[in-house]
Amino acid sequence: MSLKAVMAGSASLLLALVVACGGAAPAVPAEPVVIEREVIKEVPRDVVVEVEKEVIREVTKEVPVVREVVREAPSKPDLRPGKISWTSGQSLASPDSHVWAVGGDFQIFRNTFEGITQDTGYGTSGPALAEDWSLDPDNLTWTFNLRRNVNFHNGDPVTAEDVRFSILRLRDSPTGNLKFQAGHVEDVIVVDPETIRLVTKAPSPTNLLFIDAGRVYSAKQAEQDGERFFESFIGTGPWKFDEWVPGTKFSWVRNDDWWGDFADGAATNLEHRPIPEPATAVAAVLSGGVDIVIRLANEPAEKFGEAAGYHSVSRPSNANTAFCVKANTPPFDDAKLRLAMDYAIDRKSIVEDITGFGTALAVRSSPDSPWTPPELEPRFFDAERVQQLVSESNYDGMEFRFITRTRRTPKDVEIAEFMTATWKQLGLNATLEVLGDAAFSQRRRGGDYEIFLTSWGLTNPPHNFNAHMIGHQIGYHATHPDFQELTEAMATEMDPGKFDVMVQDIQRYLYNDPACYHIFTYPNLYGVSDRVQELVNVPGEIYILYDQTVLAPHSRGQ
Amino acid sequence: MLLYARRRALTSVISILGISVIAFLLPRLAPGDPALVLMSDDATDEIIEQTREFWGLNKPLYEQYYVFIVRAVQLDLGTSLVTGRSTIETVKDFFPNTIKLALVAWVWSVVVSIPLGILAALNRNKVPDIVIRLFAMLGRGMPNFWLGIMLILLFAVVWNILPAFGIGEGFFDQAKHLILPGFVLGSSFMALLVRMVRSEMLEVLNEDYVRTARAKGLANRVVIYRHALRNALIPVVTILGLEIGGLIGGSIITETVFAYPGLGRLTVQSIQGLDYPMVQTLVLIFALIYISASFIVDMLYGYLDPRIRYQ
Repeated sequence: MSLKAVMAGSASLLLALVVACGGAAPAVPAEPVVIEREVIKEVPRDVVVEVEKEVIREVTKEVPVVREVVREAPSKPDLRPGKISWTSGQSLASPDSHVWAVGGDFQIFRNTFEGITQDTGYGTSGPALAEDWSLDPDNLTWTFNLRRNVNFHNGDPVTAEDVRFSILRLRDSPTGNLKFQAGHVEDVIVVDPETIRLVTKAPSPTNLLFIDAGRVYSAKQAEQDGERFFESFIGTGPWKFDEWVPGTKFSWVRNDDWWGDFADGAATNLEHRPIPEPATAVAAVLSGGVDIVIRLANEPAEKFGEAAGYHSVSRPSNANTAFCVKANTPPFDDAKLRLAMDYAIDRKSIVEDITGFGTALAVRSSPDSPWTPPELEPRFFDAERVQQLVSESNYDGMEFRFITRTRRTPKDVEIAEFMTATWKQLGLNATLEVLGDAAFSQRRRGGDYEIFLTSWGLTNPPHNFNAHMIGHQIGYHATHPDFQELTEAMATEMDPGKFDVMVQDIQRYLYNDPACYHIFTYPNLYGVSDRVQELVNVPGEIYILYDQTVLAPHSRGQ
Repeated sequence: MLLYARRRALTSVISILGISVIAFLLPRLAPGDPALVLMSDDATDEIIEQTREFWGLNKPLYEQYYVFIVRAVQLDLGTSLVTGRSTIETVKDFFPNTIKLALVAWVWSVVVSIPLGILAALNRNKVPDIVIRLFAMLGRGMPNFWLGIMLILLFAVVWNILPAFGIGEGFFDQAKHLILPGFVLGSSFMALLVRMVRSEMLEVLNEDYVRTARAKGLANRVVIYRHALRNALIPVVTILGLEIGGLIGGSIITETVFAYPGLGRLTVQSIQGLDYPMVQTLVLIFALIYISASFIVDMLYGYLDPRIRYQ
């Protein structure tokens, strides 16, 4: 082939691409909707100052309402009526919900599959495929009554055999990263097609919470199709699988046979688009490519709040940024030094100046959680107290390794750098190492650090976090036998009232003699296209991130 | 020629074997334990150990390598630790996208850079030359992630004429989705080519045979395109061939910025997840592409330049 021919061919190809690009019709900006609202207040001349103030308050109250309505309507045409799309950084890794369920997978599985219970936040569980349940006096045997007339997306009815098969498959999965959630299950017995009996190895107060990971698959289909069946996304959830293009999108159609109720006008289609780069994710919403971007930092969320045609949504989360020290080895085996570390954290600056959002924490759970002892306040920065405690401790100026990982939360590296600098000013010699996920996990598990900082989005009750992270990883149990007794007793406490009291006791214990320090909890911030607010959805209908109701009308606004 | 081709093929096979060792060892030398990445923070030590056992991660390295090679010769490059799917199957999902992207980047770079290089050489130190060199410098100097984000901002957010991310559906939509990432990926290569064509042309234009051609009274166009350009492009062809491999392997940043589902993004995800089998497969595939491209270039060289004779 001659050079000329190659060049001509290449030129044609490029031209074809340019032509293919075509001309998306330039967006015609819609006329702004102007609402004039006259606010007339007749105030008598002799009115008292308090009344004047009241009037001013009333008038200024109107201003944001008017400003909100005056926004321009989005200029992009809505080409996808009834469809809601959202983006997050992670794409679906494994189609098998018993094998891998984190990040993006979690969101996809929650929309497609259901367990017998479902997590309803703050460590509480609600019914899902099981309508109700009871616990035998032995505290080991749970009887679950399944919902009647529930079908899989392929039309097969859900039976007790399917539930048994799914829970045991999760428990016995050789690689499932959530298999620990069924580790407490001794056996699942089919009583009749609509009843199962679940027997635990020991009393398990977290059974209802954990067992939702046993997402129910059809045992019959699995037997027929083998392992390939677990790539077919046939569940019972509110959304039926439509298409999966790896790395590109996962889409659903509404499951009108779902046992739950959809609101009138609910979306008919749902789509998840993975976009790893945060700036591109924001651009994707602003250009009309997707409707919702999740896990925003504060600044872009504010921009969404100001942009015409978009708004931001803030929802509480139980995500928690914390750091832990190795409490059983020098220098942190000294309780005074550990307490000094708590006073050395400038929570106020972190929340106000670095992240711009969040609430300072005293303990693992958020202030409104039933597990938070009401009398405990977050400790705030107190340099004098730190210096006094350090001088009374055995700390000799030793340098300690402080490790953290990147991109778990917005601004996590900045927080770690700020903490390191503050500690250094107070004579606490920390050397910060920012690691990738893999290296961080290895260092933490291997105990190759003195302090680590991370964030968790655990739905587990705080005692699990504390018992596991502090007890098993840092050796806190070894030096605190009474703490060990408390956590062991709690692990099998089946009375909900007593359980909550025991969680509070644990939290008090850890507050007074900390090994892990809970810095702040932060909300999930979303950037949302205004077209979404026209679609009405009800709680439990769509799962985006860890939220069930992001699109419900009451969730609007910060 | 045939003998040379055989010898070259043999060295390619040896190179691939060598690369297989590197592909196997490199991810294992990186800090981190895949079992810890795979399992939740709440997983007990017992579960972690079971995971290592299941994937054979607790076996000695030489044993793991033996299993890897034995399977590889049967075209089984293993199962992804994260997805549980065959790595070859996963690559099949992403490979065509990367090829499309690399081809678009390659084609536009070539189509734009050759005329620009010639134009710059013919107008040495004049305005067109200065502008083109500046353009080339910008293309070479601007980081892909920055250029990508700026273009998304302009074309997707401000003007709303091109998509910000993804791959699209159907021919026209896909073509539309390829424009911005293709431009970004090819920009640096385009700049390199412009400079190369320019300098080669300048060198060739001073050769005796070009002077002779002019002395013969040939038209300027014929002198430039038939005599000068054909000779100036011989070294450029080497780069053209090798760079197609480079574009395929070097699309990591572009694919990440544009959320483009290609091998580059898959590589990043696999490295982050310490997915050893997936990383091994990807490294081997990149190496195969590169080695094949260089083999083809070597073969083409003799065809393009009859003075070259293979021993």
